[in-house]
Amino acid sequence: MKVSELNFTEIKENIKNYLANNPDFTDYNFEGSGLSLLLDILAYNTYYNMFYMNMAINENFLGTAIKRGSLASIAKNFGYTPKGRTSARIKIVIEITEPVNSLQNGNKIILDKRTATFTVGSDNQQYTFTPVQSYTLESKNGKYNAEIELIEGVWVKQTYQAGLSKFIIPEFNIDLSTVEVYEITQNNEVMPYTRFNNLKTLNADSRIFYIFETPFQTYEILFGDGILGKVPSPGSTIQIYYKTSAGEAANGLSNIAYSGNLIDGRFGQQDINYLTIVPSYGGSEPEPLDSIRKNTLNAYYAQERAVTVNDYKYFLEKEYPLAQSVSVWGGQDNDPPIYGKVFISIRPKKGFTLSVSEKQRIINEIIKSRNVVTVIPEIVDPEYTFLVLDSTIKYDTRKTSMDAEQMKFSILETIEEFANNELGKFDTYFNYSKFITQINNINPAIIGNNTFILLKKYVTFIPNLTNTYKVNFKNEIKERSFKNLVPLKMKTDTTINSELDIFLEDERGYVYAYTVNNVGEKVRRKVVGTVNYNTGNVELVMNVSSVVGRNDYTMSFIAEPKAFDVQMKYNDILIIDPTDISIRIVAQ
Amino acid sequence: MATEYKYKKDIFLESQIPLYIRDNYPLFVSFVKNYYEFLSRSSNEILAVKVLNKGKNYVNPFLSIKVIDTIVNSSTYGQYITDSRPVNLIPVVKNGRIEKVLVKNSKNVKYSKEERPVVVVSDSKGEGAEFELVIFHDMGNVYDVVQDLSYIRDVDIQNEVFKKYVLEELIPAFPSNLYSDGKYSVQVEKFVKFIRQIYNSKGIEAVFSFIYKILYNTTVSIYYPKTDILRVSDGIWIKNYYIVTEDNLTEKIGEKIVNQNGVTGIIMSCEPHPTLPGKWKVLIHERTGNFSSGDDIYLFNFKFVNTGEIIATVHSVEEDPYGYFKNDNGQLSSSKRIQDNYYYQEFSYEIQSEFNIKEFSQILNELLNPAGFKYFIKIIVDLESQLDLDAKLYYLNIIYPDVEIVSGEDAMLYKRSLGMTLTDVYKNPFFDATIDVTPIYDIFDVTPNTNISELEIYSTSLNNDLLLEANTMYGYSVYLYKNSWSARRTIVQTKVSENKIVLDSPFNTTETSVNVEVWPGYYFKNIVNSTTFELSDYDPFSVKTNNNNQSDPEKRFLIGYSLYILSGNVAGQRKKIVAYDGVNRRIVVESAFTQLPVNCIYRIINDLDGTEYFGGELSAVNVIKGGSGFTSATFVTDSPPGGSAPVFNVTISGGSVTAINITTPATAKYYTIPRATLTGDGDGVVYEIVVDFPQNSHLSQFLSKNRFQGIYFELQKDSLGKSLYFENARLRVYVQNNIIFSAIIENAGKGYVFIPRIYQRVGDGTLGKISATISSGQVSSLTVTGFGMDYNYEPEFVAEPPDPSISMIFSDSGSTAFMKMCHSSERDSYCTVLLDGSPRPEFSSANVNYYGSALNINMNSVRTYFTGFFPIKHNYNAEIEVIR
Repeated sequence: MKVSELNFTEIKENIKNYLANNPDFTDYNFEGSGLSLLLDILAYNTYYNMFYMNMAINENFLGTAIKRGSLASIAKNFGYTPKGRTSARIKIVIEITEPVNSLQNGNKIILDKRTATFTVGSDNQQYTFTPVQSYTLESKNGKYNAEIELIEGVWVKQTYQAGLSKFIIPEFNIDLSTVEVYEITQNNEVMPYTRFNNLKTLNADSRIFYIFETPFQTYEILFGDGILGKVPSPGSTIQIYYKTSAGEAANGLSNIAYSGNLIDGRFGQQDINYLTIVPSYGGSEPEPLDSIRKNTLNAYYAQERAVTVNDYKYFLEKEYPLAQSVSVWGGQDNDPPIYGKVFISIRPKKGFTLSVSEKQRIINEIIKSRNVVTVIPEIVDPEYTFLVLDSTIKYDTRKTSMDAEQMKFSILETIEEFANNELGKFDTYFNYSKFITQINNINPAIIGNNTFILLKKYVTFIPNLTNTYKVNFKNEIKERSFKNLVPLKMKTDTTINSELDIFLEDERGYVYAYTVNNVGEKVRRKVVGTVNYNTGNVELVMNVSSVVGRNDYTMSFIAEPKAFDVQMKYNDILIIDPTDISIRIVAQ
Repeated sequence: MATEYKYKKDIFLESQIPLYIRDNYPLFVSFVKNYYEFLSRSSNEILAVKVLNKGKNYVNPFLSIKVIDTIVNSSTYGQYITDSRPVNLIPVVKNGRIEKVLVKNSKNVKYSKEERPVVVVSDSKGEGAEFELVIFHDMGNVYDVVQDLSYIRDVDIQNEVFKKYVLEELIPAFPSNLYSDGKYSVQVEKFVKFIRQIYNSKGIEAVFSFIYKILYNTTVSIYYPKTDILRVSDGIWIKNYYIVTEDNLTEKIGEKIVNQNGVTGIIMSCEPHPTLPGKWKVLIHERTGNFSSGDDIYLFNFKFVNTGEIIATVHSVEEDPYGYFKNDNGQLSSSKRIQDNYYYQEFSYEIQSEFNIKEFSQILNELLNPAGFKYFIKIIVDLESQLDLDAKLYYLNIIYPDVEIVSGEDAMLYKRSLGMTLTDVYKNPFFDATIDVTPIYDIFDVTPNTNISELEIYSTSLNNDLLLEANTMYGYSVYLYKNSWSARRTIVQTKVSENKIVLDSPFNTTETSVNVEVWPGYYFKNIVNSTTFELSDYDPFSVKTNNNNQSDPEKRFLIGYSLYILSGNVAGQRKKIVAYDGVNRRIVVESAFTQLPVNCIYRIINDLDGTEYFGGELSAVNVIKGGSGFTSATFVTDSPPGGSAPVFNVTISGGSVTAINITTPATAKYYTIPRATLTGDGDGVVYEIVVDFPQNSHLSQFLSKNRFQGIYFELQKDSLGKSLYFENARLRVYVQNNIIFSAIIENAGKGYVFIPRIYQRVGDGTLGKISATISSGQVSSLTVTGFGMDYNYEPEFVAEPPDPSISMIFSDSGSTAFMKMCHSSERDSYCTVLLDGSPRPEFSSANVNYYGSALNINMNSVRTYFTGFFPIKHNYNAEIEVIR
């Protein structure tokens, strides 16, 4: 049923024509006010019914449902629970001081995950955080200190009597990862239940619970039926703990203060020092509708097994919320091929790469329990390539009230929006014409747009050591376009004076180091590398001592792509750094 | 028999309206009623036919739609009006029951709400089926739309359009090329129902098979190249294992023995024990278990039962560090491959199918292929051919010397699949080596008391190429000869540069001046029964093709060969090989040997070199002895196949037959020396019949290729002057007063040799019958032989297509044979026909009768092909295509 085909006027006209064919009404004047009103009502009724039906049926299908509740219900049939809000996390070092004379090394205090609350945020808006787990702090040199992780949200506890078929959590904004369920037996035994994850270890005695989103965006908890999972004993009490989350709003905060009970009955805010290691991050809003549609089907395709490339991607996107973008490719597609391996690259929401321990944790906790036994997963760091933009925009001053600065500002905004939406992820494609069109559409006054793009790579060097450096732009590049952005100093050899600023340029497949003499002429000193223009791969063999004007060990190189459309795949990410955007506004 | 189901939804509108309004405001009631009718009247099409009752005993039901005129005021309510609109209903019948009904061409047929279409089924035997028409309302009332929901969602009955959406949702990797013209070419319903199990079983071999089966109705197998990677640790060394007995078992060397527990082994040598006086040290190979001291040893018999005479008792068991490798695994000389970074590696697999599945790559990449694995696709061309054990071979004059082997099924395909060229000669060891029953190499002067595992071949004229050729001697045996056969070893390797052959285990002989002879005889691994022989691991019948440089698994050469016994007291017996069981590696002979000694030497010999298969002229009868007492005599011979015998004149002089002359030669060739009878009043005549069989040049050319069963001609269409192709006849039937009253020929067709059957394909009536006559390969007239009944509209009658297998009568020199029309890739200019029938006539000139009209064929335009028919179903590796 296509709602676009529903047309009130057409329906009314059809009714009129139909009635006119009936001998009882052949001679009636249907334009008369009374009959016309009746026809209006009937046509409206028809229209209303059809529209209602259209909507009702659409809400029954995954592809067309637009209400979150409908999608959640359909997803439930596929065994998928849409992600709710995710709480932000923060990493801090906590230090509790006690008079030395009363403290001996090895004393312990416990930072309880429910009662040790911290307040994070500014005066205007503060959020409650608690430890992700209970930490035991051991004293050393007169202090208790530890690196801990906190998670945003206030603990809520719901208590029910066992025996219900389902237990409703009457909250909207729950971080599902924090839900904890316990059965308190009549003998006061506490029996924890874990969230159902997969069938492999499921039996009649498994203490598991299922959680589903209800059509009202709250959640319901179900237990086993005695065949697949244990039924809580009659007479026992069910305790459900969970955190309500502020989602994204709690991200990016670092001011912290302790606000909980006295730790160990003695220590309060005045005794505690903090150092924020990583400001709050990872808070997210409930899963968007499109994502629910996609992941519901992906869950169905994957069936809890990581076999194909798509399966790996699905599990990582589902279970590692700190990933901004995920790329997976089989070793058979790698260059060079490494069979029996699956390569994974993750761009984290915070920072550029994952730590070694985090990579290992992802492999152990998310991949290993699901993937093919002989296939080895390996997480590789993303490789970033920066897009350098140089635009000259001409605009007609008579067609807009904007001045040049305003025009520049709105162009910058558009570019940033483009960068956020189209780039910064794996498997992206910089479509030059789409980019230009978006700029041109900013304002009808824009009459000219001359934009050049360059690719930029950063490479870390080891000072005073002859080394091979690979600079791979991953796209075809033009000859004579490769150069270093900042002059280098090289270690003295017979061809290069270490005092001179060294520039690099390419020609016919070779990279030359050159200097500039007193009269501004280039003086080529030596060949320091090769260029493959087809692949965009540059190999340099150099002994670099420093980069002019910089204290770190980072060289930067640029090259012009042969085509203005730039494609990245596997672990390559193309991003636009605002500092690489150069815009000249020419008023005409 | 007809069954009907009425599609009807009553709206009890009037009863819903209060009585006083109905009484006082009938016009308003009529108004409202009209509105509801309007809601129901929107144009509707038939979405599906729901089978309410499958009925029974249906054979060929014909379904049609009728419309009931429902105008209440009319007296015609309930009468049937034939619906002539072209909605095709196709019943699917299984075991006499109508399982489901497919709907075609319903798109443009709209039914108004006033019309009540019903399904009518006609079948002379069936009964009980009931149907409901499901009508989709593209803009109808809410009630009807809700009623139709299941027909949108239920994959079993939904419209193809909705199937597409379901597939996009549940199986996005479904090959899009299987959808065309608004429908799927495979059973989508099954796929959807099984998809959860498929997802659950990703990466499992069975899923590959299942998906191929369901999508393409073909079977696949998975090959793992890693199984053929050379690993130095794969070699299995078997130590020499001896049983020590008090009995001298020298006479039993080569025999298979068994103990009381069923452990078997083969005696390879028997020597006096070096340290235990009076004891014999017996070397055992191929043992299936361990012997123990005290074991009774019997000769193995076919029934695997340890009955019979005890030939020895085991005193003790010994081993020594010497021995042999079980096979060539782990050795550089093996056929295993070095691991590479592409095909032969741990994480690759090959999907082997006879189906070209380029389009399948999407589902492979997205649904099946485990990440990290590389897959290859091999297309197996499966040529299934006939086994005609009784077929004779005939000599053919070759007009054109371009002798090629083509397949009976598809010439081009076969040539490509084998990669054969005209000069190809298969390396068949028995062709070159066994024509002459003599040792192929002699090795003299073996030094006694030495372990000989490598023998230098003594021959001053030894050709290295010949020795290289002897690489195919795997399976050939070396026999130690001293007065009688004494020991046998299998050749496992040849060293070309050293002129040496390597044996599977050493000879250890005390004899001096023994001869060692290499025989191409065969030693069977197992004699299953008196007619079935299991080949050993070294298979001399494995032939090499130039295709992929791999051993061709098929054993086509075996048919036409015979199995001879060369030793023992039944030497010389011969039985034809009639079948090869490739799975169990067994050959089967036509009948049992009269006696079957276990340790015989067997040879398998190509029988195609006999002259019996090649026709020749009976050129003379030579009188060797004239006899006596004759006054008159007549001489007659058997007729040649397909012809008449010669006429002879017998000359008598002095009571003796002095000459037998041919006055009229035979009209056909002989393939054997014919039987002859000389009748007269004397006796004692001895004569010789001379048949000039063809020269060996033909034989050698044939034998280097394959067997022949027929010939193919490519007849140039232009030279025939008319088309040889087939075309179905078409006819049109006219109905009047519900009966068939006439039928006309719309297209007379082509290529009819037999009168085609004409039958009703579509139509609502029954029992109409039409017969035809043919002339010159075309339908020449039609006669209505049954007017039938209940025909409301013109039924569709069709004529059977011409039989392509017997399309022409071929006549050559008076004998006739059928010719089979075969497919050709060059249909436009050539027509390939296969000479069929028995006996096959010789072909030296062609006069072709084509439906009675003589065609003059220019022989220069006739290209002759020889064909090999293959004994068993077999697979050829045609090509490897990597699809990624």
